[in-house]
Amino acid sequence: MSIVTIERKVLEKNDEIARKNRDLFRSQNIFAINIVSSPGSGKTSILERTLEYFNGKVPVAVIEGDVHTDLDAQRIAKHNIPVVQVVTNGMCHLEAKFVSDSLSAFDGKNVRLLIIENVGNLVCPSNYDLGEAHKIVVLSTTEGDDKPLKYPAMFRNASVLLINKIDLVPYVNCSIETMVRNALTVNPKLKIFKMSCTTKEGIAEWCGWLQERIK
Amino acid sequence: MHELSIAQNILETVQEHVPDEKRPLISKVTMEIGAASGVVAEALTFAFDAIVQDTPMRNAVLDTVIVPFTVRCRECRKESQNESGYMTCLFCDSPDVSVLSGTDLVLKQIELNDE
Repeated sequence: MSIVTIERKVLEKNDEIARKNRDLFRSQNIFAINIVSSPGSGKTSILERTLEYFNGKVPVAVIEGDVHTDLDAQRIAKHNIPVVQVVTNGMCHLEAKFVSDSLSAFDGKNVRLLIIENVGNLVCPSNYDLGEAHKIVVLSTTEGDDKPLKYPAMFRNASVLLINKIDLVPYVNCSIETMVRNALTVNPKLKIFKMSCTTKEGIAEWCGWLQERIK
Repeated sequence: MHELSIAQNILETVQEHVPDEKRPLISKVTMEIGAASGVVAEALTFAFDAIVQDTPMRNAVLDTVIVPFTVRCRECRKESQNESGYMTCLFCDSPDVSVLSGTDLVLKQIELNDE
């Protein structure tokens, strides 16, 4: 019997491509964010409100990740900004290579803010670095205030939490105070914004945070 | 669910280290799985068994070793293994901790039955 010692991270290849993406973003002054959440939390709606806020003021580009269909890209394209739809055909997360393969579509667009909307899934995308500056996790009030404790990896790896659908609190069994406390238990350094895409409450605060980081 | 693509990554890494003719001799592949990596050992083993079936590596079994999620506190300087995967010191409750281990997936070694 013989033993071959390897000692290698299995996602090393992904991490390598992510590193290259990050270097490229830095050299081109692109602020890139990776939005993650479970399906139906409102990622695309937040994206649309964000695009409305920056409309014409900042060149934005979007990469949409979905298991099937280009429905989200169709929604985003209405805002007249460059968008690439990545269809993963069953895969439950985006990988760094999907992002690097998409970037040529934005050549010459002078992009300052790149928003990557990951596949809706609160578990798998947390393992895959895409090269983003920040992971932004979205959690809506309809999902329940216990989710940060149940899916800690995603909240631990994110730097910002967007609590969405706060206008629905009177109708659902969710305490925003408990949700915030649970999120901070998992990751005390999380920056938290509360918002509603229907009433637009909180959108300006979130976009202000982005604005401060866009060069 | 993403265990299948992780199993695919393991397979590719093994193939890089073991030449074609020796792959049927692989008896065991040992992986360290971080307790807070979000990967389930049983699901990974299931996925690994499924994808090696159609390769010369079909005799290989996946051996998984769980690495506890360990944080070091910057205030009390102690290390604690927080099973919950939260960024909190178990001794003094401080949130000012850094992760030491338990989030990675590492391919440790490959065993070959080559006498």
